[in-house]
Order: sequence, then structure tokens, then C-alpha cells
Amino acid sequence: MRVLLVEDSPRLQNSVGVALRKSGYAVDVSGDGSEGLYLATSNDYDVIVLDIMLPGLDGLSLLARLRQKGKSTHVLLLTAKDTVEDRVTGLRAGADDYLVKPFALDELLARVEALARRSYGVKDPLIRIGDIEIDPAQRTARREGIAIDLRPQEFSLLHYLALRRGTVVTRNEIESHIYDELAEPMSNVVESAVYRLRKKIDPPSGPSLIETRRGVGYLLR
Amino acid sequence: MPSIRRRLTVRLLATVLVLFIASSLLLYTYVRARLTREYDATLAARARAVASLIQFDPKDGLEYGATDQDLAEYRPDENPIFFQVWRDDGTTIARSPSLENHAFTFTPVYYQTVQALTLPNGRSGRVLWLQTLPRVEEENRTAAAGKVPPITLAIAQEPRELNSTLQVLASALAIAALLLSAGAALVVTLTVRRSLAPLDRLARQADSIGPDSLDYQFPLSDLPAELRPIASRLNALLDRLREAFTRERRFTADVAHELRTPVAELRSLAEVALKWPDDADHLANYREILGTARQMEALITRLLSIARCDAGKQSIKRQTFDLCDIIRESWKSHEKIPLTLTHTIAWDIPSTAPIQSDRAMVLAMIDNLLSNAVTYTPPLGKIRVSISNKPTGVHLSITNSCHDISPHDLPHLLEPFWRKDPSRSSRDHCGLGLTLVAAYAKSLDLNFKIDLPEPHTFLASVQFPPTPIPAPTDTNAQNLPLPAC
Repeated sequence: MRVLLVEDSPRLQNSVGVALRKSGYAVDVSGDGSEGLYLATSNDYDVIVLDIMLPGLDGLSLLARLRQKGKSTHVLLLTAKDTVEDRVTGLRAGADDYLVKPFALDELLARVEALARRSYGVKDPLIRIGDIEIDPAQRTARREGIAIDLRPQEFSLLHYLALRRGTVVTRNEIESHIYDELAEPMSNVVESAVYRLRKKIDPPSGPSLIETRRGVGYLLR
Repeated sequence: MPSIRRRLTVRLLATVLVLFIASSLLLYTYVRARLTREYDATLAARARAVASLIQFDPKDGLEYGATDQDLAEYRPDENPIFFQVWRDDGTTIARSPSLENHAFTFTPVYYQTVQALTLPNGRSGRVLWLQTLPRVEEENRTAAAGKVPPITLAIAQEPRELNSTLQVLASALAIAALLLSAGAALVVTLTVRRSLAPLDRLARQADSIGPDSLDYQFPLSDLPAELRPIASRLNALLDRLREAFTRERRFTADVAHELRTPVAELRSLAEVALKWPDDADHLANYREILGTARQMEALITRLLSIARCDAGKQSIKRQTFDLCDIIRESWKSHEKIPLTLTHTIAWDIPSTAPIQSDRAMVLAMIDNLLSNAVTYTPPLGKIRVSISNKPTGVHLSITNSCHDISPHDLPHLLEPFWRKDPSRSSRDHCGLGLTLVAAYAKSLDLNFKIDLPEPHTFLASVQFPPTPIPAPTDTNAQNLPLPAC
């Protein structure tokens, strides 16, 4: 899952950015509205966390331009503007959710998670793949109740493939949703991650849960 | 207080009724007096006719010679006329048949008088007393000269027709009063209601105005001339109220933003540290938390200072000190700012500029003015600080280059939390500096002004009153390069 955080307070950039990364998201951060619009239109984010009062271009204008460009990325407005009129204006401008500062970090993470789920049309907070149960909130995966030991990147890959289950996911899509702009994945990092994930989630016998489509991508059965 | 409509209605009704009753009474009194006078004149004529029946003869004295025809109207009947005639000594000469067994009590009078009395038949009547001389035949006048004795005559009757006429008049007036009361009540009520309708409309319009409809304006064209000034004043008041509400809302929103963001920073920093204690960079977190706390402390301290000044509770310790020292002291904290290196700074200050004021407050004012000048002067811009000693006092002016302040912005610069940048991104300034300077200047009775004397140049000036200590004049002023200060 890849999140864009557009917030002008460096301290909030730091703390919210850390919290999102610790929660398994690939996070890009911008403190300027114009730069935020550029990032939002150039990349495929699952969720954008957007402040309203921003230098360069305010959050509502950014949102309007984003929608004009046909981008339907889910947007959570995170702002100090707390009146009903502000909320209504924000939601009517195209935001999907609205959270007023100061906020509880867990609530922010839960809202981001819910918006990310919505991006893939999933409502159940638990995702089940055969006998594997994935809990995105706890960032855990279990087979028949027994936890599968997954590294953060491996869990993010499994989570993303599970959300796209039944469709072929390209390598580029995996890179753009699992790694943020600061990461420089090596050319074979996706293949390596898929290889490691298969070893941990595939049943002892039978075909692999993750099917490779040569020259196209991967498909979670 | 009762409503204007009720007061007007009651007072108009009362006035109409009082005027009608007074005029009715006046009319009644006049008519009664007039009719009574006429009645009395009739009585007097009758009395003279009766007196003419008494004749004085020098030989026989007083003689009463009345025929039956003469006495026809003095016989007892439904409304009899009574009379009695006395000699000067009180002996009766003649009396009307209507008196029957009764008699009037002799009362000496001078010429003629009229009284009310109870008649012999028990009814109320009027009696006319007349002292006159008896008739003397032509041939006896010479002999009777000087010997004719006066006679006293009383004639009385119940003024039944007069009373009846007055009663009809009184009844007519009473009925008219009742009809007039009802008519006046209706007319006055309708007139007052119709006349006060614009006032009612104005009141309803005013009643419908709430905090969300302050942009309402009372229409002046529909109002009568008397209410137009009130509506105009109300419109002006609404304008001021709307501005105050807008300022208040902006202030609240700005305070919310200025406080919510640092609180959100503190909370999220703390929550991240608690949620992932093993990964947190505690030292960096503490530094960030301290930075946010200092920022909030500065904000709250300034807000409290402004509030104290507004409430007139700012404590002031006046003393005499040198403004130049204050400038030097304040500049020490600003000269370390790297940004300052891109500015050209000119100093035009005398060797000394004694003022009498609160040193700490003046230092805070200078700090804020210099900080603003340094922060908002664009790269390669100019700052000029000048102090002049004049007979009217010490004048401090700080000018700096600025690109983004327009004349339209000037009135807002002293408003709390106002910032040119709507994103309010800067964490170094929160928009309270000039507000604090203005509040301190007001508390210290200093004349503080801001202006744009020429395009792209911002001026902040403070006029300090003259001190008892003699100050050097401007001719002694010298340019002091900063290192020499």
C-alpha cells in the first residue's frame, strides 16, 4: 500500500510518516501543495493524506485539480479546520474522509486502512486465502491459527496480492504500491520477495498460491 | 415599559375623551348659564309686573290693586308661580293665591338678587328678590316726591322647562360621549396600528436577524422619514457587527489552527514513541516536543499579554532609559540570523535618546518590529532604523523593503493572527507581533503607526513623549555602524 502525505508541519510529517511506514505503508511526503499535486498525479497512490492549509497550493485546490485530472485516489483531509462548514466543503470538494487535528494516531491509521481497503472493493477487515487469514490491522498472517513469520515487505506483498486476488499484478504495480520514492528497489527485488513469500505461504504439497505469468506478472489464486 | 402602540392608543383615547368631556361640560355650563339668565330675566319681568300692581298714594299710602285676570297665572296649578310683596318694615302688602297658607320669609335686599330655594310646594325653584318703588299716578308725583316707600318683592317658580332642557342636553352629551368613545377607540386603534406598521415591520425584520444573517440590510425606501435614520444606523451597526463577527470567527479559526497543529504534533510524536518504543529516536522526539512546547508557550504568552493590555491590567514600571541601548540590545538577537546577511541595514541613531517608559515592554516592541523587518525583508532588501530627538519627543522609525504587503493589507496587519500567507505555514511567526506592539503602545500611551510611505516599503514608527531629561537635538545625530553600537 502506498500513501502520499501532504503536510506542511515538519513534525507531523515526521511522526505521521513514521507511523504509516511502521504500519506497512510505503510513504511519500511533501510539505508543499504544488509538489503534492505533482506527486499525486505522477504516481498511483492508494491513499492521500492531505492538509488543507498548505503553502504553494492549498489542499482543497489540490484536491479539485486532482479530480479534474481524473484521479480517483482516496483522499483523507487531515486539518485543523474543524467547523461543520469546513467538513462539508472538504467532503464536497472530493475528499473521502475528514479528520481534525489533533487526532488519535490509531484513528488516523484505521481511517487510512479503511480507505485503502475501499480502493480494492474490500469491506471485510480480514482477508482469507484458502486456509490463510490475513489481518492488515495487526499486520499478521495465520495458517490454521498459527502465525506465519513474514517480514514487513513480505507482508505488504501478500496483502497487496490478496487485495488484487484473481487479477494479474504487474511487477511495476507491485513496485509502486510496496516501495516509496525513497526506496530504490533492485531490479530483482520483487522476484526475490515473491520467492521468499512462496516459501512461507505455499502448502507443503500442490501448486503454489502465487502463479507467475511470464512477461506479465503474478496472480494470487 | 408598555408598548408604544398601547401608550399611544390609551393616551390618544384619553385625550379625545377628556377634550370631549371638557368641551361638553363647558357647553353644558354655558347653555345652563344662558338659559338660567333668560329664566331669571323672565322672573324679573314678572316681578316688575307684580310690582306695578302696588300703587302709592300720598293720602292712602300703599295700595294693592290686582284683578282676577292679573292673578290668573299665580293661582295654584301644576307648576305655580309664587310671589309676596312687603313693605319696608316687613309687613306683607300682597301675596299670590298660589302661596295658600305658606309665606316667604322677608329678606331685605338691595335692588335685585336671585336664589335657589325650596318652594312652598316642596319643589326646588328659583326665587327673585327685588326692591323697587311702587307705582305713583302721574297727578300724585309732585305730592309723593320724596315720600314713596320702597317695597320688597319675592317671586319664585320651579324652572321645570329649564331643568328639562338641561336634562335633555346632558343626556345628549352623555350619549355623544359614549358614541365618541367607541368611535374614537376604533379610529385611534386603527390609525395607531396603521401608523406604527412600519415600526412593527422594522421590529420583525430586526427580530429575524441572527448571527448567520448579519449581511441583512434594512430596506430604507419602504420606511417613513422618521424611521429612516434609525434603519440607517441599524444598517451601519450591522456592518460593524458583521465585521466584528468575521474578525471573531477568523480569530477563533486562527487560534484553533495555531493551537491544534502544535497539539497534534505533540500528540502524534508521543503516540509514535509509545507505539514503537524500540524504534523511536527519543532524543530527536524530545527536541521536537520541546520545540513545539516553546512555540506554544510563545503564542500563549503573547495572547495573554495582549489580553492583559486590552483589559487594562498590564503592569507598567516607568523608568528613564536610553532607547538606543534598547535597539542595540534587541539587535544582538537578530544579527545572528543568517538571513540578515542578505539585507542591507542602515542605522541613523543619535548617541543617546532618553525616554521614560516601561523598559521590558519597549524592548518587546523593538524585538517584534526588528524581527518582522528581518523576517519579511526579501533577499537583497533594505532595512533602515532611525531615531530622532525632537521637542515633541523621541521618534523611532523602522522601514524595510517588502513585496507582498498592499495598502489593502494595512488595516489587517494589527489584527491578531492575521497573516498574508493563507497557509499559515511559517512556524517562526504566528501573526501576533504587530498586535502585541500595538497593544503595548496603547498601554504605554505611545503613538504607534504602520504605513506604506512608498511602494514596496513598509514603515513602523513609534513616537515617545518628551522626557524631563534634556535630549540632544538632531544636529548631533550620527550614523552608528552596527559593530560600534
